Amino acid sequence: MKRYNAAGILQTLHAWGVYAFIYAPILVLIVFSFNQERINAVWSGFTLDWYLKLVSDTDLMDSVLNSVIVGLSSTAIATILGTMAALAMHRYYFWGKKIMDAVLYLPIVIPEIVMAVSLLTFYVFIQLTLGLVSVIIAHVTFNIAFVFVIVQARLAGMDAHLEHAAADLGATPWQVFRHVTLPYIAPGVLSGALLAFTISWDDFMIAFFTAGVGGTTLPMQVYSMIKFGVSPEINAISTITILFTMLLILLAVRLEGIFKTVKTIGT
Amino acid sequence: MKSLLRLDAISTSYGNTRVLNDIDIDVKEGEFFFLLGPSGCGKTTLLRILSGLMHPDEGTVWLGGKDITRLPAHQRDINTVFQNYALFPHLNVYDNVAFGLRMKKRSEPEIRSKVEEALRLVSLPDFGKRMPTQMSGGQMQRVALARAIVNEPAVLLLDEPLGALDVKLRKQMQFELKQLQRKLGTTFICVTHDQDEAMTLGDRIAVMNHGRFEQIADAHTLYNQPASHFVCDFLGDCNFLQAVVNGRVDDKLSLTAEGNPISASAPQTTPSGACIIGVRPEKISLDGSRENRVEASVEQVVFTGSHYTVIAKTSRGTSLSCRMFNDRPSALPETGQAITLSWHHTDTIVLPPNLSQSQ
Repeated sequence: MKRYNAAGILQTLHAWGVYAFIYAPILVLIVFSFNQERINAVWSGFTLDWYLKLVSDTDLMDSVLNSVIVGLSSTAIATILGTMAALAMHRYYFWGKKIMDAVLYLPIVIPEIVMAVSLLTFYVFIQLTLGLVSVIIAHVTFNIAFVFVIVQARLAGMDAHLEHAAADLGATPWQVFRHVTLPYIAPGVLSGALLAFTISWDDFMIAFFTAGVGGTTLPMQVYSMIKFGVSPEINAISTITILFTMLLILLAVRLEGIFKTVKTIGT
Repeated sequence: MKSLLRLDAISTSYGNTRVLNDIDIDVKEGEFFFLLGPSGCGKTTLLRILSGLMHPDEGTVWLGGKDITRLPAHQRDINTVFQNYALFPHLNVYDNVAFGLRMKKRSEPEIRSKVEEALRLVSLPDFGKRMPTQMSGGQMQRVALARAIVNEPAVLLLDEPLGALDVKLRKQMQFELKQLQRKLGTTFICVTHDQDEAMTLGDRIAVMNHGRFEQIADAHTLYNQPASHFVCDFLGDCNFLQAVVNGRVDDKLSLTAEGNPISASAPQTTPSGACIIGVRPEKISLDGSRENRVEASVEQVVFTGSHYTVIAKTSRGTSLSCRMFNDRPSALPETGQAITLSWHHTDTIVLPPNLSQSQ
């Protein structure tokens, strides 16, 4: 039989308390997405109506599609550019490297509102028509930084002799990259990409400033909807988003498992 | 034996520091050649130049009569066993060993038979499916060897190959390495700071110091007839005394060291003036029976298992050590006892005066 003591019980309570603090609001949101009542206060019975209503809401569906387009394309571009930047920083020494390295981190630390306003000002300055493309470009700018940081950390742990050994065994520079460097940094590249997608999916501020006609993303659509009160429809779309995000995380964990054997050896 | 790899006046610098200074070597086919020196002597830089990971500022590298100085690493018929093994962590043992052949686009059946043969040679026949992380240091060392020899290179480079292994395993691997080299007949060039390893395995040893060669010779010559104070000091232990050359008498050189007449075998060219003489501790006898004699008093007797080391001081305060086998412990002198150290003239090593270091 398990034995309990005061400290143990307090610890358990504390743990549950923390979880409740984080997840209770989300749980409430999920529950009310199945509520028949329009007002999020009283439970009056189970329904899937709000989910069905989502599908027929063309504005909302358009915004979901926009978010997916922005997320996928900005992630793809940022992953390639960020990885290339990390490789260049890892491999070469050049004038001004330290400054370039520091500048690449900037999008992570500067306030979002500053980023948003500066991008908008810049677009106006170069007379770029605001739309979906302007949002994608904006998302690429900050996503590069996140991919860069993660891939760079991965590369920092890589034994330089691995690439030398490959070249020594007859691998051309491209073969070295394809068969040694890329497999080694792959987990970093993938987690960078997943992080980039999540951040892009989540972004309201920068999209709000840089989107034009036809560029409304999901967070912007939700924001405009709650001006008329929080409807169960919003609860429903939020629930789907949560499930989608959890799926991504599970995928990331699975991928990490596949690459688990990739560890540094030797000293 | 035929000359295989030749270095011609190789020099290279890192910034303002000259790390290699006018290096010449001629390595013969099938030779087990050592580059021996303390850390920072430039031996690893030289290895990188041979492997093609680095190009020298000046000079030429010849392999089998072809100038390969500027040829990149992946186009050279040379493979390396890296110090930390550098096994690919995402590939199993089989794929690690197959790597070089796959890069050269060989057929899978050919790869299979060669990889299996290589793994057999390093006594790891059933390890193909293991991941490098599941292996011990000695096993990783063997995989690294197999990965290099499977390509049948003209020259195999080894960078401190046994440095990361413990003493017992190192002795065993030394033996296996020598066996493997004999069996394959491949030219091995090995970098090490371990003089014991170089003397045990090397057909010839190039002793390096400050980016240049002090002497290139076999172990016997290096130990018995070192060309410089550095070589004499780096290989094994040695006693040094300041001396002055008096002249040549027949086939003997007459010297004076600390007031004692000393004789040595005369070298081909007779030196003059100040020089240094060296005597190996095991060449000194305590019974005063040999022709070169120095009076001293016993400072300390140290027991090291198979040997006793007697440390004695001359009247001028120079410490001399002599080594005796642990077979007659009753003949040991006592601390403070006056003794006569003596040695044969053939055991006197005459060295040029050391200008860089006050002795």
